[in-house]
Amino acid sequence: MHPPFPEKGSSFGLKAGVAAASVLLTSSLLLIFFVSGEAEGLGLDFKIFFFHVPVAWLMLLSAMVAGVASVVHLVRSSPDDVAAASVELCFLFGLLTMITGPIWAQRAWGKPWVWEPRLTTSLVLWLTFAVALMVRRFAGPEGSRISLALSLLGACNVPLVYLSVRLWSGGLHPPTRVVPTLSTRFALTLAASLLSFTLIWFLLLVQGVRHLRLNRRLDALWADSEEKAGPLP
Amino acid sequence: MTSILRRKNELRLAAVLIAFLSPVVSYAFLAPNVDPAADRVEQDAGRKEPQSVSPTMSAGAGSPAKGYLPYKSSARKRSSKTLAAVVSVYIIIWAVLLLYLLLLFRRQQKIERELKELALLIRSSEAEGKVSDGRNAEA
Repeated sequence: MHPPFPEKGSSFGLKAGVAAASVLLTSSLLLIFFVSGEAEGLGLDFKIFFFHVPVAWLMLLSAMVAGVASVVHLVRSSPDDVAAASVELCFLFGLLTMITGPIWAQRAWGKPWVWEPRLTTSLVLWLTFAVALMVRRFAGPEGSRISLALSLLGACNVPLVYLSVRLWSGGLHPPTRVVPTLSTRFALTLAASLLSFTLIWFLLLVQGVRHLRLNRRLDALWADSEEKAGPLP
Repeated sequence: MTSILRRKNELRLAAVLIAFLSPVVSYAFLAPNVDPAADRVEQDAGRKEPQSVSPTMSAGAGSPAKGYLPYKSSARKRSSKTLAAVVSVYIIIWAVLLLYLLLLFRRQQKIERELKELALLIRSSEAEGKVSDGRNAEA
């Protein structure tokens, strides 16, 4: 039986996580703005790369986690809190990807949106998770199962997003082997940025799962207290 | 007490907001030497057609990576629009994440409120039970 109130230890873990994320984030911001310098040919615009790539990576990571958690839930019939929290985060980081991408594209390509393979597959992924989120919220008791199926479908799209630049020609995005060719300065900055954003994502996921669990326990306690109190007159 | 706690939380949020905005603001004021000539060139160039990726671009020490799209005009590198793009990306990311944090915070408050209501209900029903037990014992 789970305790009805939040555990004390989890609060300490959360505080430690927030402290670690703050330190990492501060160092990555210092690296981005004051150490990494400018890229030849891309100038200041290249700094967007250190924000756009982490949020896009977290959109894909959330989609994968949501897909795996959906499978686990459908096979074991365990609570789907991780899948539900991941769907929300996939929508959130997808939204950030869809906003920051066009800003960079406008600078680099002269147009905010081009119907090229990676942009199109990313948009499809984000829309899938947007629908999954809405279905879970508004489609009633069956909504969560439909949302899980949609999450699974969205997760299947992740490899397609990653490999789209190889599978279809005519894309404007760089090839998948681009990160190893970065100079040490840029690679270090990107690594710090990826690490700090991923830690923030993890903290948000843990907090989201915690809220869903607490809500479920609260519902159970309400039902229990109503049962004990008997039917209303 | 509740108002003090609420104010404390608001102060925390404000501190987070200031902490995350200060690097980009200081960067915007201190670091880039925006070239006015770059702004003029950009205005003259107007909207350009998207260019295809040049796979032959080499990855030197200062170049970002192979295959990255180079600018045709080097003057665009330091325009004020470039700086605005970087700053807006940063602000948008933190604004959205802070809004989400606020949403999580509200959810937490709702859970705490419901827990308090439930605790009150349990306490009152226990008290009622004790009273009725006492009456039964007297009878």
